[in-house]
Amino acid sequence: MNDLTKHIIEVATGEVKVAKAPTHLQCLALGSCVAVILYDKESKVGGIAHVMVPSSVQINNHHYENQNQTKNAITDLVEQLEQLGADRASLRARLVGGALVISDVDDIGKENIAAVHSTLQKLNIKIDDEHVGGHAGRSVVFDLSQGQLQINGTVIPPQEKGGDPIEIKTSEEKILTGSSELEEKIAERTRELTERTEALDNVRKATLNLLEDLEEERGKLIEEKAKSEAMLASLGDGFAAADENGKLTYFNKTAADILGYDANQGLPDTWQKEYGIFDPVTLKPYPADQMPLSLAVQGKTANKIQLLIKNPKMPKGKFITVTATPILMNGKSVGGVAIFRDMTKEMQIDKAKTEFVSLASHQLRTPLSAIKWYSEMLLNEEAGSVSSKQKEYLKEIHYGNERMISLVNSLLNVSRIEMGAFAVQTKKVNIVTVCKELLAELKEKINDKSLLVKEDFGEVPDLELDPNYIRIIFQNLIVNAIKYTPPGGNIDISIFKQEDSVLIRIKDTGYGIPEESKDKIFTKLYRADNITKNDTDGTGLGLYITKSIVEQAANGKIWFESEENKGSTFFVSIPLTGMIKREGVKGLI
Amino acid sequence: MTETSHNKKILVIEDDNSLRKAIVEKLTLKGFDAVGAEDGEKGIELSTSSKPDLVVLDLLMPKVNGLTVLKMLHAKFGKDLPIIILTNVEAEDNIVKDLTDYKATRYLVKSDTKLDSLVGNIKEILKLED
Repeated sequence: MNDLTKHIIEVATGEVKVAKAPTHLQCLALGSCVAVILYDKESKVGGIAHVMVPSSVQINNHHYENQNQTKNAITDLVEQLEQLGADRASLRARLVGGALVISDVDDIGKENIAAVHSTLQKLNIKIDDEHVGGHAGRSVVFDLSQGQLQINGTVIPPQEKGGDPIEIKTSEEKILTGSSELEEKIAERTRELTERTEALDNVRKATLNLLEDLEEERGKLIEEKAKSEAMLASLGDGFAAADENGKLTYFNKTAADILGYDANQGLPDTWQKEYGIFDPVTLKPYPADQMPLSLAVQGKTANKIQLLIKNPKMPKGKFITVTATPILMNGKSVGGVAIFRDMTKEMQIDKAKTEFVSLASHQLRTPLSAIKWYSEMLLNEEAGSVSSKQKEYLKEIHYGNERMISLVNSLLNVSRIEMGAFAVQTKKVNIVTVCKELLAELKEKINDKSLLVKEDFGEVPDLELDPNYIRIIFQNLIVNAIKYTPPGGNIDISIFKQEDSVLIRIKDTGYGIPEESKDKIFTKLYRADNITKNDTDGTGLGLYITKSIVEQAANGKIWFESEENKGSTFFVSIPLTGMIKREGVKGLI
Repeated sequence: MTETSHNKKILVIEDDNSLRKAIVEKLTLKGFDAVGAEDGEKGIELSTSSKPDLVVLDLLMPKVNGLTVLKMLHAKFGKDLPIIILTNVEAEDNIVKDLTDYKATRYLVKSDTKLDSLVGNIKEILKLED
C-alpha cells in the first residue's frame, strides 16, 4: 500500500486537506496534476490519488505518455479501497486542482480534469457533477527550486507538520488546506481503519469460533445418535422407523427377533407384505394403509393395535401389540416410528385365565344350581307340605343362593372386563322394549316396597345393540333404585332420543350418594357408607360393570346427580350408532 | 303331586347326579316319562331304547361331550328332535355357532333357570297345555 492510499479522508465534509509534506506534492510538481478523491459514503472509506496528466509535451525535459499512468493510479486506489470495504459501484469521485508547472501552458488543470474525468467514466466511477471541473482553472504551482506553493497566484508558505492548516477560499467554496489537519484526519482515519480491521478480525475470529462450536455440536450429535442407536438396539420392545414414503429406515434387534427378519440383510421395501401381518381375529391380511406404522406416516397415531405376525420365518405366528406415532415437523408428518411387543405369552396366559374363570364358574354354578332347584321344589311343596316357619327358612336359603349365583356372575363379568375385550353380539334392539320387559319382571319387588314407578318413554329407534348388555345396564340401575329407595318412594324412568344418542334417565327419591362417595361410586367393590347400613347384600360390582359396558361396548357415557336423603338420578347416553360387534372373546352374563 | 301323564318321553343327559335327580324328579312330578343318563355315551344308548320326544342335554360331560351327543342325536333322529341345552358353560362363541349349525332348540343356563321355567320351556316346545 502506498502512502497516498493511507491518507484516508473524511469524505462527507467536502473539505480537501492537503498534506504539506513536499513528498506528496512532488508528484504535483512533476507535471500538471489532479488530485482524485475517491470515497464510498456507505463504508466511509476514501483515498486520494494524485494523478499526473501532463498535457505538455515535455516536463523536465522528459516526454510523458501518462494517460495509462492515470488509469493505473486510479485503478490501484480503487482496488485498495475495495479491500478496505468500499463498494466499487458506489464509489464517487471529486477532482481537485490543476497544477501549472510550465508557465507557458494555460490552464492545464482544466484539460487534466477532463482527462481524469474520462478515465473515471471508463472505470465506471461516478463523479459528483458539482466538482467536475469545479476547481478547473485554479492553478497550483509548486516551485521545486524555491519549495514554494502557489494556488491561484497566492503563495502558500510551507507549514511544519502539526501546524495550522492553510485555508484557501475560492468564490465557489471553501477549500481548506492544512497539512497538520490532514495528518490528523489521516491519523484518525487510520485509527478507524485499524478499529475496522480489528472488528473484521474479531468477526473472523467469531466465525472461526462458530465453526468450532458447530464442529463440537456435530460431534455431540454423532455421540447422541450413537447413544440413541445403542438404546434402541437394546430395547426389549421392537422398534421400527419409516420415512415419509413409508419406507423402513430403522429396525432394532428385538424387532428383527419378533418378526423373524434380520435387519442386517436389508430392510424390504414391501415390508407390509413380507412380514406377514394379519388381523388376529379375522386372520385376514391387515390392510397395508391401516397398519400402525402406515397410519403414523400419514400423520395419525395408532395405540396398542393387536396384530398377528405369520410368515415363512415365523410359521407358528406371534401376537404383537403396536403403538405408532408420526414424526412431525412444522405440523407435517415426515415419517413415523412404531414400538411393538410380543404378546404371544401374555395371550396364552390370558387364554389360560379365561379358561380357568370359565371352569371355576361352571364348577361353582353346579352346586348352586342344585341348591336352587331343590329349595325351589321344597318351597313348591313338591316333596310334601312344609310349615310356615320351614318355608320362611327355605326362602332364606333360596334367596341366599340366588345372591351367590349373582355374585359368581358378577365376578365372572369383572374378570372378563379386566382381561380386556368381551364379546359384543349385536342385533336390532329397542331400548324401551328391553326396559319395559325388565320392569315387568321386577314388578313384584316394586310392589313389595310400594314404590311408584313413572314411565316416560319417547319415540326411540331400534339400535344395533347387544340386548344382554342393555338388560344388564337397566337391571343394575333399576334394581339399585328399588333397593335404595325407602318404601313409598318414587322412581321416574325416561328414555328419549337426542340428536345423536338415546338418553336414559333413572331418577329415584332414595338415600342418595354422600358427597365423599361421589367420585368412587363407579369403583369396583365400592359401596357408600349410607348404603351398607340399609342394604347388606350388594356386591359393589353393579355400577362398575354397568360403566364398563356403557363405555367399552356402547362407547356411551354414564353419569349421575345425587343429593343425600333426597335421591339420585342416573343418566346413560347410548350413541345412535349403537354397539360395535366384537368377536373372539366371551360375552358378559 | 304328580300331574297327568303327557306320555312324553324326556331324556335327561346330565353327569351331575344331584342335578340329574332333581330334573328327572321334577319332570316326573309334572307327568313326564323322564329318564336320566349320567354321561353322553349312556345318553346315546338310552336314546336308542327310549326314543325320546325331547332331550335335555348338558354340555360338559365325561366320555362323550354334549356337542358330540347333539350331533349324534341329530344324525340318528333328524333335526326335528327338540333338544334343550341346559348347562353352566358360558355361551362361548364356538358353541353358539355349533348350536346354530346343529339347531339346538333352546339354550338355558342352569343357575339362571328355575325348574318350573325348564318345565315351561318343555311344554312350550312340545305344545303341551299347562
